[in-house]
Amino acid sequence: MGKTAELLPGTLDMLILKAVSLKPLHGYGVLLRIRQISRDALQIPQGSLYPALYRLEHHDLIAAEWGQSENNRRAKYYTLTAAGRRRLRDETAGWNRLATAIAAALNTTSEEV
Amino acid sequence: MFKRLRSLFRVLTRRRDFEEGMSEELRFHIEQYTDDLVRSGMSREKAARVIREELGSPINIKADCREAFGVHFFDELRRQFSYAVRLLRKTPAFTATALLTLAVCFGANLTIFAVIDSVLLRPLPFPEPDRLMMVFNTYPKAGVDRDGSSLTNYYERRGRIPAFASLSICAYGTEIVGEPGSTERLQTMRVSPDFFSTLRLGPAIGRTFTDEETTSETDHVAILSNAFWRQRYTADPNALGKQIRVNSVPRTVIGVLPPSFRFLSSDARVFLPLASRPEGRAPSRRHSGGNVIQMIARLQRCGLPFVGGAIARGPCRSRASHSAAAGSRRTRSSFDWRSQPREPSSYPCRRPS
Repeated sequence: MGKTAELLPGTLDMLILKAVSLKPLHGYGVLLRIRQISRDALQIPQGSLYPALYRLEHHDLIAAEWGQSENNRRAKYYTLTAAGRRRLRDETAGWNRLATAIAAALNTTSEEV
Repeated sequence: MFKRLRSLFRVLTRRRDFEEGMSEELRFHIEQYTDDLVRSGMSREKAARVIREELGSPINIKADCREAFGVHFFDELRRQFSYAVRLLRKTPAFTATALLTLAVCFGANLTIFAVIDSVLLRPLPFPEPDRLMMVFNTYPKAGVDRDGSSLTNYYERRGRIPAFASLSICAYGTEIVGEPGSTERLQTMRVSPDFFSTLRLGPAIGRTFTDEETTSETDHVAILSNAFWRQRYTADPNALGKQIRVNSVPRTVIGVLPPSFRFLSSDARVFLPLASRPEGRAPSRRHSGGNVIQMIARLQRCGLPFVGGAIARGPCRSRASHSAAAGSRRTRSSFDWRSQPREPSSYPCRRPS
């Protein structure tokens, strides 16, 4: 396992939306999926995962439905709603702008000033 | 916003499902995680410790989840409410006093508002209500500011005061109405023939009273309120011409008022002509008889908008102060008091001092 990074405030929601957008997932699945797609580089605060899921559900960005898990247990599955898809697109664009700007700023060398 | 309220409502109405779902979800998470950790070679005890460290207390997580849905607000409300109830129960005397005070205040406010609403706020339900005036006699030397009028006043002033387009009188009363054996005491109103034309709202069906019907021999006619017509005659249009006994005297129904007819706070069901004998209208009776009659006038269109006391200064003034009665009495317009725009204003007729 390589070095892990703390999540920036506000990025957990974005990651949950992304994870759920790939395939309907239960809460534990969301955790695994984020670990997987970030190649274990992001440390998900597990205590905040469920409150974040509930908040997103309450804001109608994801929808929840009870279903069967792989090992035949009852589990709550989350899917992305249309509003969630829009939100994910906006947040991704915003994040990319921010990341590009910060990377550009940090990569500036003394010759370029 | 609407969606959020709907989701909150759904959770509040199925609160048990919400709580059980939350527990089940967390249980599932912990079991899956434990299985995964054990599969990777960890002992069950160690896995449980790791999970507790990473996940934190399920109680806290549940509280955060409730907060995410806005449910915690209602939990808090319920806690505070039951706390308040317990406190109030402990001090019954204080609680009773407070409740009683509140009840009395509500009642008083409601009553006052009902009166203000009907008297001041709502315009009179007649055309051009700002031209309707209530005319009072005033007797300054007797200290009587506003008094009713007499029959003599009416017959002397009628058609003689140019400021008034029309003048009419009415008197409140109660009468026994109905056939022997099935009578009831009802509020009634005796009115002069021009009462409805002064208000500019007459019977919806039928006709109004005529001048010929103002003697005691010819006044056997009645006009019904809409409510009374519906109740007694089940809104039958053939009620016109039927006989109705008022104080055991049969009278013919000649008209039915529209539902919107409402004269101030009167709840009169039956309207009768204000009949009298010639001696009742004699000048000697001008200020006797208790002045139980109300005088209603509709102002002439003066060409000036009537606002409060404006008429006293407007072109109506000279005509208004024209000597109204053949005798020593003069009407003097003095509008310097009491002229709310929506209430029938006063038009005091003063005796010259």
